[in-house]
Amino acid sequence: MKRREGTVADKQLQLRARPDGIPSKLPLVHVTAVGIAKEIVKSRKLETRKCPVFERKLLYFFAMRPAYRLKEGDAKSHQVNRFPFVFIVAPNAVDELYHVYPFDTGGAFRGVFSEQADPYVFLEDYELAPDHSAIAGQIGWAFGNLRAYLDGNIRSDVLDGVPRHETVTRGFVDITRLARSGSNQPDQRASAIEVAVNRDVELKDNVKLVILPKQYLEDASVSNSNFMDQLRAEGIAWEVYDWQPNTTPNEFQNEITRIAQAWFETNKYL
Amino acid sequence: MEVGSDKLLLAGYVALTEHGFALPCFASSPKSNAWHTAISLIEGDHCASVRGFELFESDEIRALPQESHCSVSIGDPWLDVFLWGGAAYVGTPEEIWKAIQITIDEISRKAPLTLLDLALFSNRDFVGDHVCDATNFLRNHYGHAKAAAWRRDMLVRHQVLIRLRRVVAESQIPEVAARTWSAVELVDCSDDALEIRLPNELRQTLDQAGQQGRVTREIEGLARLLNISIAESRSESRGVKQQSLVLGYDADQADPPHDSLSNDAPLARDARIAVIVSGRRARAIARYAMAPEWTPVWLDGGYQVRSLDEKREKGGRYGWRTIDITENLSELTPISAYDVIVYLADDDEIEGPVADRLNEAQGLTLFAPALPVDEPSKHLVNYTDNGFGIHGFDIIIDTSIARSPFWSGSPRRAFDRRIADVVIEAAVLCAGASPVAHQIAKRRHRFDEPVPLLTLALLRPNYGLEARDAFRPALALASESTWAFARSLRSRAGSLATVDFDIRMLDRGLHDTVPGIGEIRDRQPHFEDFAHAVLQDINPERASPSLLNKPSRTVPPDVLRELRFPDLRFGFSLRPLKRGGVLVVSEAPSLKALRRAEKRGWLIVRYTDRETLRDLLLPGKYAEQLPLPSDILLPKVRRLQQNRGLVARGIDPRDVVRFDQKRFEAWRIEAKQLHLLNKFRRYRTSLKSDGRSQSLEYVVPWPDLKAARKDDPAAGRLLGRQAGIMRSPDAPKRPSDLRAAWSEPLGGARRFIVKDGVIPISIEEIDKDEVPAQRFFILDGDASVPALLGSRAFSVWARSTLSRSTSWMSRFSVSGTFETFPIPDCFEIRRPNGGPPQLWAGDTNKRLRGLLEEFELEYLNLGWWQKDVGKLRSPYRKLDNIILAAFDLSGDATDLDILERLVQSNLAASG
Repeated sequence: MKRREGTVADKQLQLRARPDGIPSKLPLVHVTAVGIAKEIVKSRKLETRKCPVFERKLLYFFAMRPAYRLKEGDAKSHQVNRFPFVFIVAPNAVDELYHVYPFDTGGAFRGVFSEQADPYVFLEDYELAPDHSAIAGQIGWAFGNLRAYLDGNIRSDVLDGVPRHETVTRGFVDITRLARSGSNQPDQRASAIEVAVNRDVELKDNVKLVILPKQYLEDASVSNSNFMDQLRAEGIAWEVYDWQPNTTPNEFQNEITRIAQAWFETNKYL
Repeated sequence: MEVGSDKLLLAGYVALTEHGFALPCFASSPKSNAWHTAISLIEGDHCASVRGFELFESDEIRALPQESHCSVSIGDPWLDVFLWGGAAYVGTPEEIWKAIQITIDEISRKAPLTLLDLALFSNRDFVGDHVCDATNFLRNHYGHAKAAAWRRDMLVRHQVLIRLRRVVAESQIPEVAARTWSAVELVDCSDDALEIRLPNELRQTLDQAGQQGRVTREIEGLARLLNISIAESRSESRGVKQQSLVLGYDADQADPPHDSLSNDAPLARDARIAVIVSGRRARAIARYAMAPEWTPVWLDGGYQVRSLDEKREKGGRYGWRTIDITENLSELTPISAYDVIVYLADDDEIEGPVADRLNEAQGLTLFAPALPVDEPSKHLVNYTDNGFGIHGFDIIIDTSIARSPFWSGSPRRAFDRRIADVVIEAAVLCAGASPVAHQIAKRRHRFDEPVPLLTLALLRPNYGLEARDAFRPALALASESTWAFARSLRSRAGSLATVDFDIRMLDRGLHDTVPGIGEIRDRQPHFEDFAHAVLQDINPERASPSLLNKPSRTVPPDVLRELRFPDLRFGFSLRPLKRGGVLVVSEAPSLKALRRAEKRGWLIVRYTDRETLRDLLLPGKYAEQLPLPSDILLPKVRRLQQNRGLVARGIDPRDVVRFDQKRFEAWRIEAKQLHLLNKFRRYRTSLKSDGRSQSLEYVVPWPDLKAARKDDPAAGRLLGRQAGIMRSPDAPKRPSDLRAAWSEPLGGARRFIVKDGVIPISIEEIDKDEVPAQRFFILDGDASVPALLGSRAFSVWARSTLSRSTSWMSRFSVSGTFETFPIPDCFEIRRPNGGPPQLWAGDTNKRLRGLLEEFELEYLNLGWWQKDVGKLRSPYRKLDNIILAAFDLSGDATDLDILERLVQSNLAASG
């Protein structure tokens, strides 16, 4: 997906925002590989890193969706696909947002959505308003409710009344269809709302849950008890998923999504 | 992204953690830059096949050693990389399971979830014990709720999913959507039951394919594997009848303490146990201290053993409570935190009142004598000078029960291991709200009263089945230090308290209990009673009570003076003997005692010498001459310098790789290295005289196979496949035996092998391309080898120096049997070309040489192994006499004469 160079973006999706009873602030999810997660826990904060797309130090989340899968277009499977580690952050952990997009800008920039994306719509055109209410507005308009958003199921009548020339809105809908749950290879990043902030986030009081491989519960050759103790010290709850070497990235994502949704239900977000 | 390759090399891995399954990584060749991961036909199923490969990019890929590389094609079984202890095991889960056998206890303790993962796919019928381990681990570390959630969501749900996916894959049902699988739920329907809820879409798909019955069978199989129950539940929803499966597991909360104990049970200080070790024997015994695989019903979990001095855990796969072992009392801080303190000490280690050193202890204090090998413990049989040393202890544990023929534990347990078991059992059974501790506490004696004795036995299901005596359970408490027959008035008078209890086996169902009995007794041995029970156990007819009723002839006082424990004896007469009798004792008799008794017509036999006692009780067996007992206390004989290196043991199986003939021949065709081929030998595991047919097997030393792989790809493949099954040792376990077995006898010598522990000696010649298993000893030389080793002199020596074991067959040893034997002058030890020593006939004794030639012609060259060497008369008898003459003994010398002379010769030869 191309970037705009000096021209003004046509942010049509911002005008479509319609919260429709969606909570104004939602939990955010950060997914990384387990090796990096250990460093994060050690440093006691989620840190910004240089983003190759926007060329500045940013920290990325998805709104409520543990999306991370890299698939066709990325050419290769990466570490994070095979060894995911999930942080779920409280809604009020970040007040000032740098940007909000309706999908994963990294995937878009690398051309993951190229087949569906309108080649004449630029990345910046899809940007939503940089605040929490824009997240609720996008979910309300595109999905109707939170559960449909989590399943990646866009409203069937979402394009009713959208004129043909509103190419950004229509382009977004085309991309989002990649993430529908009926697909056998859904790419959750195609409709996961991306939130970027330009400051670090302390773990304590902000991270509410981590989802990690069950092997981290055991003390074998390397002691994991320190790691678990650190989580406890930061007041972070945890759930485990069943890491197996012959489980595909898709399956990990389904499993982690299931665990995350159960936590959202327990904590009354759903 | 799937790639086109259908065959790649498993050559690396990415570790999730440093233990357990890693992500296997594949490459097209060992030096390829592009890496791939495999895709399993069934998600998460380690028993499924490989469906394809996809490209994978990671900076964290570690290369496997080349010998572990395996070629994997699409359709091949999934291969895992399993990490433990710094090693990477490669193979199917079943192969890995076999390879890690030696470390299973350690893995179970540290990584029970990982071990369960492996066990689930290792073609096992039952993993309930591992489920129990993992659940206990989680509950102890993270609480009951986390453990229950793990069991529901991680264990059972995933296993149900795998089985459903297998059914779908094998039924060729069209692909099921990911969200359908995600919707499979396990729901708690009570505290101990889970309902499997399938989404309607999946249920209908399975119904339409006629697979519901198959699903039920698969889940039933899963229930058996996990040791959980299964039931069907029928319900009606919106007018539609539904049927679902309910899985139930036993409540795994601890049984409440016995009601009878709840009122006045002693306070449990977390049921912690300490074992203080003092003395050489005690150290040897403590090495075998292991956490029991059971728990008393009044405790809610098992134990693990920790060595405080070595700062390591010694095992205990089931427990979280601790048994701390140390030689240093100061390590136990605070000592008041321990519920039970055991002092395991040698008899000679106690000089003052040791209990004083434990004066801060608040728990029970138990004294455990480190039982000497050759005699009773002085403390147990009240033979101490003043008895002062152990005053202050609450109780003394009867460790001598480990030597009793009525031992109720595993009969294959070695002696020191048995003692360690007794010590740990007593400690655990005294911990917590224990009825045993309760009885001990009730009878706490005054400081100046004798310390009573505690004897305990677990009556495992098979114990006593073969017993002829209805009092067998009571016999389980019998020992040289107490008595045998609980029915006797005398023993009842010495019994202070009895206690019955139950234990629960941790490796089986949670409600599978085993009864145990215990008794607190006066410390007063009644050895006659015990010895009579032993004789009755050996031969009930001949050792009937009438034997006891006949007063045994008075034992001469000069014989008693030669005994270390003269009060611990039982004399009886043998009818064919004109005078004297048999004296059953508690100690291994010395040569001096045996000689003194022989002069008086008596034979001294230790009660543990069942072989001699059995023969004595046979009618008329020893009408002419009393036998030499087997269990004798010999003076300290020395290893003789001239015998060093003459004998080697057969090869350690861990040092070689074994191949059946088919695999060897297949490899030989593609092998390029003649050098490696020359290293293969035929493997001898039995004697021809055993009459057993042995399948042809070949062996090659690990080091040679590893060295050859660089130049010979066929050797590399051979090694790679083998390394996938078992881990190659870093260095040979017994390199000198390996060298000896692979060497060729020099100077025209022949090679003979001697079977371990068998008397009369079993000996045979082997071919140059054969190497023997470790149950044999190897000697090179001429016909002198079978002549000398088959002689009466060597038989007497071998029998008397045999290392005896409670657990397994008695054994010869290179140092104890062969290197101590004084070889007479008529033979000589040669070292052709400075090579290893060989046994040859000396040049000077022409008669010996002549007889050996005759012996050789008649037997050695004509399949002599088909004859029973023990029955050979001529020329063997003549050879025997020449050998006896070389020791200045006549042909009618008794076995005792021979043994005394051999001991003298050993001491003389060793200077």
